[in-house]
Amino acid sequence: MKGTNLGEFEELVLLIVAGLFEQAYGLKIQEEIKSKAKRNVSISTVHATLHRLKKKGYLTSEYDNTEIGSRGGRPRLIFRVTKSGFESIQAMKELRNSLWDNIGDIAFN
Amino acid sequence: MNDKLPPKWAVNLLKKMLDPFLFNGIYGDLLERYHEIYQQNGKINASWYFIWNTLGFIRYWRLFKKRKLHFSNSISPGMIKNYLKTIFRSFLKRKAYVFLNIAGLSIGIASFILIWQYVNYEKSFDQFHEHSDRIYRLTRKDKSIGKEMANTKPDLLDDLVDAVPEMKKGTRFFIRRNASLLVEKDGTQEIFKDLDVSYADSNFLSVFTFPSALAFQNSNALAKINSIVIVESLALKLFGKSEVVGQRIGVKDPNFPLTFFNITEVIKDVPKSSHFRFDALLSLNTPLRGGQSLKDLNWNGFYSYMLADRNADPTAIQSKLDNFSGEYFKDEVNMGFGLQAMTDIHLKSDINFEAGKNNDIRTVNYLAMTAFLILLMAYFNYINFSTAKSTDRAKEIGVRKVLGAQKGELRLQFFVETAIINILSIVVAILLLFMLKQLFPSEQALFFYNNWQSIFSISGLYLVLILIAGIFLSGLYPAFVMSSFNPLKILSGSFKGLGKGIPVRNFLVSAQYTISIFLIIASLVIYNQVNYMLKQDKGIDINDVLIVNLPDIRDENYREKLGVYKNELEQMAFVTSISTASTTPGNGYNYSVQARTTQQLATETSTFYIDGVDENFLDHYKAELLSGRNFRGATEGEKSKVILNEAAVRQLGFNTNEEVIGKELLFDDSNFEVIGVIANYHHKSLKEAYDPQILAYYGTYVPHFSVRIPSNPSQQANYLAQLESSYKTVFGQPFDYFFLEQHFNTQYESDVNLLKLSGVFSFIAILIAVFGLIGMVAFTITRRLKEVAIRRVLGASAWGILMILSRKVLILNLISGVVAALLSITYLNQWLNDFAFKINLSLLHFLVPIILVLGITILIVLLQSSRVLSLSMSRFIKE
Repeated sequence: MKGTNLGEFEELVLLIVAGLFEQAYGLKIQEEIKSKAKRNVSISTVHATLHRLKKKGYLTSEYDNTEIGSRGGRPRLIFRVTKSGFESIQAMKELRNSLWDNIGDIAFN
Repeated sequence: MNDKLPPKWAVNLLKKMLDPFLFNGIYGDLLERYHEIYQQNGKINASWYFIWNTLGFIRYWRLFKKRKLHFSNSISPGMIKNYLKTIFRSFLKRKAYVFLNIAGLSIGIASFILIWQYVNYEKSFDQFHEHSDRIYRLTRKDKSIGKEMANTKPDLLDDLVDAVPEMKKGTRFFIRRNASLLVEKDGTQEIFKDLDVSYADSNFLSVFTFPSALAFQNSNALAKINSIVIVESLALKLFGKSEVVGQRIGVKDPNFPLTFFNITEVIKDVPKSSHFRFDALLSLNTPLRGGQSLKDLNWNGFYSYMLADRNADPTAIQSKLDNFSGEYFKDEVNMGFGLQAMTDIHLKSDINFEAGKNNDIRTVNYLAMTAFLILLMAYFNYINFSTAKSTDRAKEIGVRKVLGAQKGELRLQFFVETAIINILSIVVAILLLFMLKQLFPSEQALFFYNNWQSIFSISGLYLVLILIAGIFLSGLYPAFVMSSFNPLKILSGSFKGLGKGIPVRNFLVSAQYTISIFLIIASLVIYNQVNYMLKQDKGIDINDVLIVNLPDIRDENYREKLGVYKNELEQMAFVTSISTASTTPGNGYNYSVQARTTQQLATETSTFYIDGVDENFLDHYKAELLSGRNFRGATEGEKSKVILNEAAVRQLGFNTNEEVIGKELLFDDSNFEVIGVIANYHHKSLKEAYDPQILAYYGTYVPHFSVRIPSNPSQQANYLAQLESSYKTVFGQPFDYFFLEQHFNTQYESDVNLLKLSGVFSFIAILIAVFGLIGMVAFTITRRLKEVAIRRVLGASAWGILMILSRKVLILNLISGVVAALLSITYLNQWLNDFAFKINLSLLHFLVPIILVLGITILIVLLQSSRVLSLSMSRFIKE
């Protein structure tokens, strides 16, 4: 199913959006990537990825209506993981788990 | 917070790139971080951050690009039908506007096409030869007086074979004008007069490309003596068919005995775009009376052409010619050779003894420039009209926009409208040209002596490209302006028309004024110069002088008849005086010589021009004898005497005319005593400075009779009748004469032509400008109708209103006048520099055109506004 596959970075962003819950907007996501994954990415890359995920239907976005002074009165665009988005990372996690189970302990001896 | 905002351009860039939905969120993110950095590291770092990250979004522009809102599909057939319908409805609604537009454009385009094909024709001269790019003409140059002469001696080419290895072939010819041909048919002889016959080398037809009119080409047509090659039209005239090889033709020529030639080849007619013309070619090897051929005459009567090797460098050839000239001219150290590319001759060569009348490249360029200017004016008109009239269309634009039309679609609509008007104008222009051709079918008429086919060649492609470019030029601006109207303003009624288009329109109107005034100034100066040349005192009197040509067909009693006719002329009471000379004023000189006084060294020789005259010449033409005496008639020793003009005296290095009297001149291997000095007179056109002239005594040599008759127009026909009847009785031939002054003035033919053309096209330029002006003034008045009405009701005078309405246009007019004057000063001074005798530019040349255009403007404003002012004003206030 082309178009619904998740890239490595996309998966990371999706997980972070899910973890931030209701606080997931561009800048915050960028900071989280930096602090959790130790990766320096530009804000444009973050937004591009968010946009792609949204096009795939894994995210929705909505403006919160609180105006914030430090943002020049601009509202934050909050991202939420959709049901299919959640299923997608869930499936990814299960796939990984089952693969890990196959490896067992032997492989590392 | 406002002072803490990032650079505006970066914000705008971001806004341009992003979908409006995303913009707020992303801009907010950037701002948040921007302010953080601002607090910690200052403004510069913050700005850098903002700019850098904004630029980062460029990578993803395709991802974030704005979503277009498509409410209508612009290319659906229904929509196109709708566009066309509205276009034609709007045409019908505004007939006057469409008419003015098409009239202006089609006149502009017609003028452009007309000049375009003329310019192309002029530039195509001599291009029809297969080797046209490597044929050169050899000329003689006298470096001491800066004169160049087109003809050379016949031995030159033979000597050049070793000196210039690049010369692949050399060919020469000698043109005999007004020759008569004699054809024997069924035992009777028929004579055809006034033909140009050339004596040409045997390789003439392999250097130049004159294709055969027959099935088989005879490449050796001129090799044998007594061979003649004739052009197809002459074959048809002489024999009524073109397959005439083997027939005999007799060549009668005043200076040669009757000789019979065999036709060896018939070629197609010489194209009009050839700088030399002939009706027949004779083999140059044919012996003359004494057994010698023309080639053996050591005389500067030949045109010498060389066909150079492929890739030969003309500058290298020229330097070899320079080396060779010392060896060839020996003591005549000032003489040298020139090399002219054949394709340059028609437009760039104006030297002595040309083979035909050439044109001037600057005349052609001036016309080409005029063509472009007129076309530009026509397009400017269109732009002006359509933007000015766009307020009429505002409602339509508003409604279309509200219903979801995009800018691009509106642009397309208006552009298509322009294209339709342009194409209609092109069609009308072509119809106009055909009508013009019907009106002036004569070959002589201004422009139509050349082939229209040139329009369909490569240059025709350029023409089409230019006209297409014109559609874009005139269509894009109005389309962009009109599609940018704000629909809210239009529909709420607060739309006041086009504010921002006014500077552009002012510029276009000024440009039109400038072009018109420039063209009028140029025409006026050309008119004055041509008039000056026609009216200026020539130093001799050629009014009321008649040149009687003597018959070509001469029998053994010819000498006797000449005496009889001269006697009869002298008997006629009305004949004031009679003279003869080897040439007439306006016809160039007999030939040129290298001369010096016996005191001068051989290296001090320089070029002089010889004319043979009789003892009556000075009195007959009323030339002024400054010093010494006239010829005494056919007495002993007069043939070794000469009279000089002042220019010749100066060239010999004498400061006074008296000094030169009695000195001996050396030329043509003989000594000549100077007996008199005459004042300089204009032997040639006033374009040329005075040449150093030598008048030699030719005594009994009579090439024509120059007859002065009284200046009495009512009796002229009577005089001519008497001259004619006597001529016919004596010679038994048709009377052949011309008036000298008319003949002299044919030298100004190209200038008079330029004058006519520049007059016609200035008029057309004014016409187009007037169309534009009428439209503009009408537009201004309608826009300010309410203002005018209020002023009028409050008591403003008609005059005051007129001032208000015309002020702006008059200011534009004056500014354009000054610009045009400045532009034309340099241009016209350059043009005038080509004339040895010329007028000076005066203030009037500039003031008259400016005032003329000003007057036309005022007239238009007056007419247009009087129409409005005569109406009841209350109506407009109520509206």
